[in-house]
Amino acid sequence: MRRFISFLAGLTRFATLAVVLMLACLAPQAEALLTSSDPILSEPIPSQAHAPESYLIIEDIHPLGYADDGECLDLCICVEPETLTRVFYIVKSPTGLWAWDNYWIETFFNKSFWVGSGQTTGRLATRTVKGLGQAGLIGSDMMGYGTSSAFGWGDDYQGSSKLFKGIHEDPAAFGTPEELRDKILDGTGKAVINVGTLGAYGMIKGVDHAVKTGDYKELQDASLQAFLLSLQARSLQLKSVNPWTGAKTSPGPVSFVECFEGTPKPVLYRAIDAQYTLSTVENGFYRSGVPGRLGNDGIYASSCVEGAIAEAQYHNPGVELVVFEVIYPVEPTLYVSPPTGYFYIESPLPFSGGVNILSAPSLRLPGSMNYLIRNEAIPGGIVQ
Amino acid sequence: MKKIQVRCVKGFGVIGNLHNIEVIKPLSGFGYAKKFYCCSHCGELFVLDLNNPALKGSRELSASFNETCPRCKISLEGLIVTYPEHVVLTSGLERMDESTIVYDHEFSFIKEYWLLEVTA
Repeated sequence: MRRFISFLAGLTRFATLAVVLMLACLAPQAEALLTSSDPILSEPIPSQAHAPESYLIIEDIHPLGYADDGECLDLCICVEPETLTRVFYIVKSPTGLWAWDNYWIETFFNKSFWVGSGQTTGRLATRTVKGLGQAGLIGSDMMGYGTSSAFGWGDDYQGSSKLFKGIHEDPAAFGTPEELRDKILDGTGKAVINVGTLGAYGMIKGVDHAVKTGDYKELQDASLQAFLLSLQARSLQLKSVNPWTGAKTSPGPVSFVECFEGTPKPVLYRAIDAQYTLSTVENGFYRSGVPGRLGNDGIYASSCVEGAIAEAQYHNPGVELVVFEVIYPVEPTLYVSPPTGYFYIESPLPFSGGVNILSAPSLRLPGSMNYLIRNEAIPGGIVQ
Repeated sequence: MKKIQVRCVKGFGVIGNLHNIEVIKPLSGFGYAKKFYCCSHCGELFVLDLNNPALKGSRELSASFNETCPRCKISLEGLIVTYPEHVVLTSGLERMDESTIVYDHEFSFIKEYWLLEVTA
């Protein structure tokens, strides 16, 4: 029996070594895939249209991690230097822009809410491996997430990624940043072991299971596999082929939802029809549940009186207005800039997680900000 | 009844084999919204302010109206219906499937409509 167990252990070690070697072999292929001269891959990626050649970095927000040689990758908020208005993201490294990363960043941002919650990304990205992108759990998970979200499975994936969900919801529960990092590295190690022991069988089984049942959790939870699969999936996607069914599809429009941690203002303002003043003073802001750009589940407010009036006048022309201060629990916001398709939605804004405050630049008064406070917004004094 | 200004957008819908039937709806945003109703006899449009606290969270017109339609002078009681789910064409009152309507949110205009006043 001992011999048998010893044999099994040896076999497992061998399998682990074999698969790790296989992955090591795959890494250059993955890199080659990214830099391939394949005409399909050489086509402009839709998201790259968002990134002009000249840009102005206004803030380095998230160090994505470090390569083995110390190369640092930063996710930056940039603007077009001429207009200073359109914000976009770029991953930069000392050797230049990672243009292809924009692709991932975009899909990542499209569906992700834990980017929007701010520091989590910065804390999570603990290491990268040059050539393989980010091989840590977070890196590969990002890639897998990007892939899954690109095909509309992001929400499902987010729900299955318990570690990240937990960290998003309660980062403090994971201890100090150092302890958090250890947990992530531990998770990374488990992912590698998982890949090592299950190897290709796990990948194939995961894909097979996903295709048969539509349940991608098993596949997606194989973190490092997701990254490798994502490369293949991306290649297929660029050819307008559904990677799972093989069906030829028309590429859909790429929407660009920008999300990051925003800074709230200490006081906000909301203008209402003057005939509802007494009711508002007595009962608080009326929650009508009517739609808006950031969803319908809260009270809209502006960063300034002029902004509040501009919004109210636009939607209620000719109405006498009263402007209230809005008292609310001040905390970091989820800054989003929804694309046109998300305007006027009759439901809470999707993929915005459990944040209480959403913010977006005002369309009516450029330079001011709009906020949606989901809970605990109460009227303060009347200012105008 | 009094008229108020309403910012609207235009759309086109389908009823049966009739296509490109022009409809309008109030433009919502920033938590402000209104809703249209129409007189099922003549098609005159009326607007309900959904930000009125007297609605108590409802987005429907619950009270019956004893007012008469300013256009056809018929009592609106029992004759006022939601719009554009209902539209009055030359053939009479028709039902429109809202999912067939495509609105152009990029262009809006302001026009005056009769206000359905709701009090607490």
